[in-house]
Amino acid sequence: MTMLLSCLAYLAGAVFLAGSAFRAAKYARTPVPLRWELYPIPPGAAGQIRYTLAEILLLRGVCRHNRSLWFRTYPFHMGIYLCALAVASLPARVERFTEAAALAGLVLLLAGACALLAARLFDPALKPYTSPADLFNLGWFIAAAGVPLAAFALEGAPPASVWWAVLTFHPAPPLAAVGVALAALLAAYIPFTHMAHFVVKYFAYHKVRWDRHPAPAVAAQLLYTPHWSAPHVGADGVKTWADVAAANPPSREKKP
Amino acid sequence: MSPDRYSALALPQPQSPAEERELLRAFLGGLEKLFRRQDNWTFLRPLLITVEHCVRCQTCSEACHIFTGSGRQEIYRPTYRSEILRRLYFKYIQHRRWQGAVELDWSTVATLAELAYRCNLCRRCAQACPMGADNGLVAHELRKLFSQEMGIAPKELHAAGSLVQLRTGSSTGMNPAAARDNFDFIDQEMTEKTGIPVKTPWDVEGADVLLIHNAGEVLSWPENPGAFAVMLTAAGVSWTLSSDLTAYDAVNYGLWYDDVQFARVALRQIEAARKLKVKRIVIGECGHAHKALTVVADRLLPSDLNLPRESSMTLMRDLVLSGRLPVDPARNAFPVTLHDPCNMARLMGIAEPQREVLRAVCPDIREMSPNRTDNYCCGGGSGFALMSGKTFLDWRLEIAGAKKMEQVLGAFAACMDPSIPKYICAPCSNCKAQFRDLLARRGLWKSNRIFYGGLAELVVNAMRDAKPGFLEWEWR
Repeated sequence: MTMLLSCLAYLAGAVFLAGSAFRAAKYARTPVPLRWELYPIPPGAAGQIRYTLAEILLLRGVCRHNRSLWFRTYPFHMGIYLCALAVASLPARVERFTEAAALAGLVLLLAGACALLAARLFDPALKPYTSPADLFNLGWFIAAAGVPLAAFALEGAPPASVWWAVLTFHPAPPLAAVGVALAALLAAYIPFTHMAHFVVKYFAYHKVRWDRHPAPAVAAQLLYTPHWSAPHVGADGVKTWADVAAANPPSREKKP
Repeated sequence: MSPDRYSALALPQPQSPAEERELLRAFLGGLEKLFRRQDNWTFLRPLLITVEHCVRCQTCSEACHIFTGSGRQEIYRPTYRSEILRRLYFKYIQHRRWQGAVELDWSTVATLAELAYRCNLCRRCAQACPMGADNGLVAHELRKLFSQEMGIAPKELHAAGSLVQLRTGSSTGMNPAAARDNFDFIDQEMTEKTGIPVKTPWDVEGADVLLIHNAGEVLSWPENPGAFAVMLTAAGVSWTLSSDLTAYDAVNYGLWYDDVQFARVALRQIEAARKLKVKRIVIGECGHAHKALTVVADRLLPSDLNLPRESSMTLMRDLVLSGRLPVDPARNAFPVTLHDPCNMARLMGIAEPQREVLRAVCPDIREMSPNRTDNYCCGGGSGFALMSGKTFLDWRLEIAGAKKMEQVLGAFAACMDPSIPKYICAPCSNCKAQFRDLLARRGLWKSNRIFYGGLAELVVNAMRDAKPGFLEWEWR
């Protein structure tokens, strides 16, 4: 069982990385769009890095435009960051720091996820737009943060120590092991959901709204064959996009 | 059927189950193409990002002037139409069920078609979105689906818009000969009014500047292209207009609803400039024409067609600040507020050149709040200023324009006395049309002497070399 859980943890990490890379590749492979920028664009690389850091570390956009949500989502995201920091710092063996980060992260994550779930269930602006998948995802976060905290309270198993034990193929108490399994599976699941926005934001900002550069790749895209059916388009399954753009629409149109 | 009591499209209801099935089949075909690279390479990337990653946190809602201007009606929330599209995408394209229920029937299709025309495409919602999602783009893409697949588009934009422009040369229906006649008349008027002999040059090979106006100006506000002619003549700029089809009308309605029509018009405009071997194209006071030809068309143009394109805002700034047009700001001694057309400010980043001009020619500027890239749309954007059919005009003026009127009244709050003439400077043809209708609906010209017009008119009104009194303060 110990071996199984350790393998699961490593496998989940690998799936998380592979899934994130897969999602990044998916967006990188989408055709280069027409220019569609949005101002203000932070000036220079330094400006863009500053903007991105403020967005990641402070969730500045939500803070400015949706303060009530920020009080719910900021602890949630900060909880994730602290948990990730705790896991990343495990090999450094700075145990007190790692344990503090893990505990603080789990508490914030649990509080944030509960607050977000409550908003999804009861806020009239959010409720109609909440899908079963959203509730499922938040429920999973609550379990993945709540079970390790319960294990700490009931089994005396500090979460970072449990993660270190699992990652070094040592046994963990039963409830703590359940917590690790939940977190591992969640990590593996995230890249395949809309929660992978940490990957997609790069494309949204750097490859759409801040992208003013020429794109030689578009020349090849002009050779794509459109299939739109409206008569004025004049697509026949053979003409390329460039052909269609160069042609005049038929002088008299009929509805398809 | 419409989700509210207004209508932009006046879609006929299917008369039989077979007709409805056919309509749904066509819609689903279009939906599929919207997410296929061969068909929609132009905007697939931002569309996928939005549809797959919008978390529906509603952070964008309060940024939308239509949602807030409507008293926060749910159907105008930026995510409302996007959520329907998102659920359809997951159900019919991705075949994933847990993303929320949706039924595809005539009512859903009609709702989406109408709601695609309850958004000004100003993208203020996108600016507020921390995720980078763009619910304004969703409205744009829905319009494309309906136009490019089903042949459904407002007649003002398509049948009487871009199709007419490609056929006759201008969306106004004005052919090249009529355009020349109109400019001859404008030249005479300008010469008489300013004392500066003006003769608009046509088809001058090798000119420094090919100026392209929104042809609607020629018919509705001829003093604007006239003011440009006066400025360029007085400053000694080498310039010309083109009489090639589409090249004497800067509009490109395809920008709002149809990529194919958009590309056709843009390519013809650029081709005319290349034919004349001009050094650069300058776009007159038309926001969407700025964005269409300068930004959105940019990647469509092969290198031999990628000629320099410039805003008339920077041209005017250079002429005024360089001293080539000596001005006396005292001639504009009345309160002026500046409207930032979304296409220039938020979508192109042009916000300072027009202010530099204004500061040079007007002593009493009263900024709206917020302004520049954070401005609010006038409510006429994305073609709405042209659309009045059925009850659409009421919606455009009462809901879409509500926030802008609030801003205007805020800017002029300290000078509402009718003895003080006030000027809304709107350097965009569509915005001017919207201001004309907004002010008329609220009677603000009659009751408070709030007038509107372009930036070029203010410059000529201040020109020392021109006779005083260019602005006539006559309501039209």
